[in-house]
Amino acid sequence: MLEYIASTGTPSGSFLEIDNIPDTYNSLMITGVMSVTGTTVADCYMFFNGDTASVYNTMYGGLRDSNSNSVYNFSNNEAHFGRGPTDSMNVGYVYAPVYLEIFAYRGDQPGNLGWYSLSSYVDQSSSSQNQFYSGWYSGNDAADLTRIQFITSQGSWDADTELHLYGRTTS
Amino acid sequence: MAATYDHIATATASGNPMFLEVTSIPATYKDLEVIIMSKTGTSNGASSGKITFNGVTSSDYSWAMLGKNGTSMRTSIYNSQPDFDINYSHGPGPGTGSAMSGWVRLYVPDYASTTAHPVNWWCTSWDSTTAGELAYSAGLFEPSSAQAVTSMKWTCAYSIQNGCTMSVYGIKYV
Repeated sequence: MLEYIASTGTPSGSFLEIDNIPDTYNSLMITGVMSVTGTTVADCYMFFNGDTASVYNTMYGGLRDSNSNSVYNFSNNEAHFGRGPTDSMNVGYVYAPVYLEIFAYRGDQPGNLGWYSLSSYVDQSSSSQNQFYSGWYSGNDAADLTRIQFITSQGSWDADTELHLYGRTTS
Repeated sequence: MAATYDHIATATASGNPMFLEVTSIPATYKDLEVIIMSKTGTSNGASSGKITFNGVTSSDYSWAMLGKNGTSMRTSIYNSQPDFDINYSHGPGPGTGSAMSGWVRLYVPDYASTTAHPVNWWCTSWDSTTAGELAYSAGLFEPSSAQAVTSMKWTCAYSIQNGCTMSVYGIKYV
């Protein structure tokens, strides 16, 4: 089954969080919408289990701004999954839909945890984007993922930002 | 969420196999979603995995992909192939710079019909901390004799680490 687990609560500043994720699923899926305050498009990333060390490896590819071949690989202390449009875009208040998959999230599953996401929004200007993101966590692969923090690099999460976590069962 | 989203079956790697297979898929759902988490336990880098339906290995599989590999975007079209050969979907083994699980999310709409089967999938895995691939592909399974999808097989070039899985889910809306 695909079971609803939890949603992020009311945004407070640049952090959102889902905690106490059960270790009973095969994989996780997150959907929702996101937007940030201010005038600068944000890089949006996660911390797993509160780990802020340089143990995250991210790549993205696709259309970003006016570059149709925007690709990048990087390793740092942020698990990037997309970009957050602002409430002051060319057409005003713009949301980005969120589709994010997290796999091998249990410590007893083979391999390091990975994620895959789609990042897109359109604001009728050259700053629209449509990209794929992927990454993997090189921290403790024997630990279950129990907590995800969602962070915006610019401004704060807009009040209507919400992310919903689902789990796929194997029974 | 769909009105019904059921777990149908999971094939779990045991004995470091070269393939995972789910058979006897019931025709009682509208769509199928398949989640594959697959990597090798040997010292090989990220590699491809191949999907076949119903044991068909004739030239009945075609697909178009859009993705990123290394430092550039790429596109490809493959027609009349013996399987869906999904590049960089079988994750690497230890000692290669990454031991990330490879991942595929395959969707098969209207799988129980006996017409040709359009499918699509997302996939990703990494060779190292700096080199990997992620892609979206749209495919078509068009066997010479029309048939519903009743089984699927995931075959890899390198052995599959024990505990890796291919899970099949059934979706219906009424």
